[in-house]
Amino acid sequence: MTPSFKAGLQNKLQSRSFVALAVVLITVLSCACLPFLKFDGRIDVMLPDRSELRDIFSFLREIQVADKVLITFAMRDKSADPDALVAAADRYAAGLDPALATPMNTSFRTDEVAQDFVRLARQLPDYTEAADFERLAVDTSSAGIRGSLEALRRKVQQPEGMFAASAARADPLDWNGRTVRKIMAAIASFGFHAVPVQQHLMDQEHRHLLMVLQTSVLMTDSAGVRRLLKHLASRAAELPPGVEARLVCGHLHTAGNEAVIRRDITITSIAITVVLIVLFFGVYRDWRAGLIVLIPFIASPPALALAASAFSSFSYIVVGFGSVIAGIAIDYGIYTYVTSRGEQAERNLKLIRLPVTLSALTILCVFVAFCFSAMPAYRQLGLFAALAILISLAYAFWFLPVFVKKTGGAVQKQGGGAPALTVFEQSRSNALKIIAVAAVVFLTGLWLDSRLKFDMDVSKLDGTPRATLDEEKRAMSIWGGGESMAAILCVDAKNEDAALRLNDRLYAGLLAAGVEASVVSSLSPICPSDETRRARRKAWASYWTEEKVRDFRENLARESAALEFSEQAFQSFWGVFATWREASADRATEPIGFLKPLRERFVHTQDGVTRVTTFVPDEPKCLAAAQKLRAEIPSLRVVSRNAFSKSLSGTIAHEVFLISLLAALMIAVITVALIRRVGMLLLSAIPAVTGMVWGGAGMSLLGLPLNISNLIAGIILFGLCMDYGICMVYAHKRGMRRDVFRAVTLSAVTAVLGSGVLLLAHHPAFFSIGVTLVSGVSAGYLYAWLVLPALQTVWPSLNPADAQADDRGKV
Amino acid sequence: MKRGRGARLLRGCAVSGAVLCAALVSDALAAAGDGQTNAVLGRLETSLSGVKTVKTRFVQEKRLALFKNPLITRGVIQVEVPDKLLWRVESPIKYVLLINGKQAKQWDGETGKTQKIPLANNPVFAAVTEQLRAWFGGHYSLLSKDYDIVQRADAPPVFVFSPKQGTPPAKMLKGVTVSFREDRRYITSIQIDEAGGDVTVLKFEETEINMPFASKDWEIE
Repeated sequence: MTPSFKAGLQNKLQSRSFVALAVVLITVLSCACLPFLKFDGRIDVMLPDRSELRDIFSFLREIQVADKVLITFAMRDKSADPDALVAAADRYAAGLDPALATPMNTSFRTDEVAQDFVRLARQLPDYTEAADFERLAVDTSSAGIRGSLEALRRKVQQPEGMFAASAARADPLDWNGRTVRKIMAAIASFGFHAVPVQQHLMDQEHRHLLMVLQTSVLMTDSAGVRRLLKHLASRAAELPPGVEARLVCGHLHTAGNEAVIRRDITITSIAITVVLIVLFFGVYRDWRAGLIVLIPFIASPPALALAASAFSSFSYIVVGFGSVIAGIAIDYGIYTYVTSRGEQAERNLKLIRLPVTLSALTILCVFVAFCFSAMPAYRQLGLFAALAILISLAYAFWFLPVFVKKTGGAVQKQGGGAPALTVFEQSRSNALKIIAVAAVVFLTGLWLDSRLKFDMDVSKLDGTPRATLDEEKRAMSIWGGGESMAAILCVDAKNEDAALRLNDRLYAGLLAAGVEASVVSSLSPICPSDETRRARRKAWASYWTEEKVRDFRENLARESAALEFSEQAFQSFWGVFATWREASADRATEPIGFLKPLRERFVHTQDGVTRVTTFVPDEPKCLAAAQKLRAEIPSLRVVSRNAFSKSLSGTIAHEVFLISLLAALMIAVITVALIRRVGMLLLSAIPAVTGMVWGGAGMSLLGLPLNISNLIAGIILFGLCMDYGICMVYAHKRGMRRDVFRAVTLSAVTAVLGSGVLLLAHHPAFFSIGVTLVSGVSAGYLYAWLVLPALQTVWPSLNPADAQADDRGKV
Repeated sequence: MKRGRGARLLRGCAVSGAVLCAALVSDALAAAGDGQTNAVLGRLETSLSGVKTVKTRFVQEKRLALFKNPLITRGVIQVEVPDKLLWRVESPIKYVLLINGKQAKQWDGETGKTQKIPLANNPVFAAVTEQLRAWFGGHYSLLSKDYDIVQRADAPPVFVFSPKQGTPPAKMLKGVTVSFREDRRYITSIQIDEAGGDVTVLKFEETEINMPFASKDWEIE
């Protein structure tokens, strides 16, 4: 490269038109890329990859309302008009786009149900458990038969027994009735209240009609969700004026979260832009000061495009951190702008590059450490922020100086500088007072931190609107089903029957451990596995020896004759009884249609694995019984909401500890390598430590628990406050305190404003970040401004000023 | 065993055939006299609409394949519009059923115990009591949704209600014949022909209309 070419290139790179064109091109191209990248609002990005937690979270999604939409139809005037509801629901269903949603069959034809009961009657031995055989012996004794027949005789004379006589001919001892009651009791334990009315499901008062839609639209498919909800809204708009349709589905969470995040991002971006522009124009009265604000914004699109392209899907929550990153990255522009306006702009710029680069490297250490996290959200945040900071730094050193107008020391004349600084420096007693007050403030912060509570439940960071959550509660009050609060036990196997077999063992184990059947929602009493059925048929066949059958026949004939039953009264019963005895153990099980929807609720097959779920109260007794059964059933998974929260808390704490350790190590290596003085290092760390202490204290003051978002914010806070420390310590050493103090002040104000606008956010994660950063940055800044000079006054040997330092800010 | 199955199949076919024939005949008759029947039913409902309370003795005769002999039951039925019904069996057993809105109460003389039955939690019981209320409360036009109605006689009026195919009553009933008093103010008998061949006949005597009830009349024990 010839010197003339090099000089030409340098001139070109510093020409305003070239710089402007290059930056515009980069920004436009990266913005153009964004629509081709995938973004979503899922909160499971906060969970570690390939962890059991993630697995459980996916599983919970899968088995709950992931692909179901529940619609409750009701009269707007709260009246009960089942005919109107049925007509409205039919009309609603008829207009549904099958590509988006189709109604599930939740109703049964009367004749089909009758056939199901006939099939169920044939399967009586399949439902006869070991304990039932004792009762069978009593039932078939003379006394037992007499009791049953007398009850039957009374029943047919009562009005509600008007149609009982026909059925009694095939079931004189009410064995089928008992099986049906057993199944009904198991179903009742699920806690649902819907009853079939006119081929639909309604509540018992017939005021509400339940329609369940199956949809292929995934909850994570934002565009699909919007399409689906729009379509359902259009269907609801066509209902008769007196009928309303209310939705409950996971898709509303996705849409709600996205809407809240989008709203928060829009409001915070506008607010920060307006505030920063006003601030810079107010302080500098120069339109070019607006370029400082512009830097993080024009750095964001290429950073976001590059970061998002590295992931299959990028989180909106991470994008929401944009304003925080802007608050950090704007600092470099501030330092460059302030020094570029001075008399010796080029020299000042050179001198400021080291502390500013050191600051950037410090915060980069934090975000690079994030990139090693097992949690996708942390990795996404790490890469996005690191790129945004690097690009901002490059723009600050390359793009901004080209456009800044030199004022030749106008800033020093305009600004009041930091007169107090001089006062504190000169008075040792004042410095000691400041140190004493700072110690008290620090200890107060520590005391507030000790009162902090931790809440690591990620579900509480869900920004779903209140209306959606209220609608879910309302639907639960109408239709029942408290499964969302229950613990989930799940067994899995390679095929359905093997999984059902494990499910039978689980159910039997729970009952054996003393858990009451009425609190266990299990498929086992309703749909036992083929193996269990075979075993029960075999037991039935063994029980009914020829002698027992003969006795039973004689007893029934004798007792029925005594009570004037006809001779042929129970002919059909003996026909069914013969089929029970003849049933081969290997006979295929006839499907019972009305039990199919229940099977679908409990049995989930995916990727060649069948999972069968059981719901029990999330209480220690049930969980202990289930945990004990894990030794016997290795594939048993116990998913407790409480345990999930605790496990998540542990995982996150571990993750944050590792990231903090890694970040601290990197920061230590870089700062030690570049600063090389113990005193300077210790002083630099004071604002960071104080910022961290008061970041937590802010949450404590507002009575908020510490959550995952605070931990992320805490790490950013550490990096930011470390900057203030480094810059102020460097400024003292190099005699650049006025310029640097001004720059640090502006930096802190912008960081506080950048994160302060998050206090306007509706999303709980953003709000928590706002609180932590505002209180932490404020504390860190105040310590950098007041406490560091005081410490340097009392102990000057910690950071002696360079001999050539000129403390008028001119260097 | 096989012979038993075959016999049941044949009997099933015969019953189905009979039900089908009955349904076809009913349809034909209904088509012919639909307008006239509805008009008569309308008049009946109008004259019944003035009836606010009913107290009547009944004799129920059940001819069931289950028993050698008919079962005869005697007792009292009380009705108060809109949704109160008491069915007291006095012999041969002691038993009371009280339906009041969404609640039902049973008293069993054998055990001396009273049992509350929320109809909302018991769909089968609710369906039976709904039918009882419809028959004894005179809501005949409501029944037209599930039944084809044919007028068999005019003076006194006699109607035959045949369940429409595919409706829940069609599984259990062949038909219900309701005979009215000459003054058309209440029923004199109801005959229920079940699909399986069982027959229940309820005859009403000493019927009192619009007499005031004392609260103790609704006590069930």
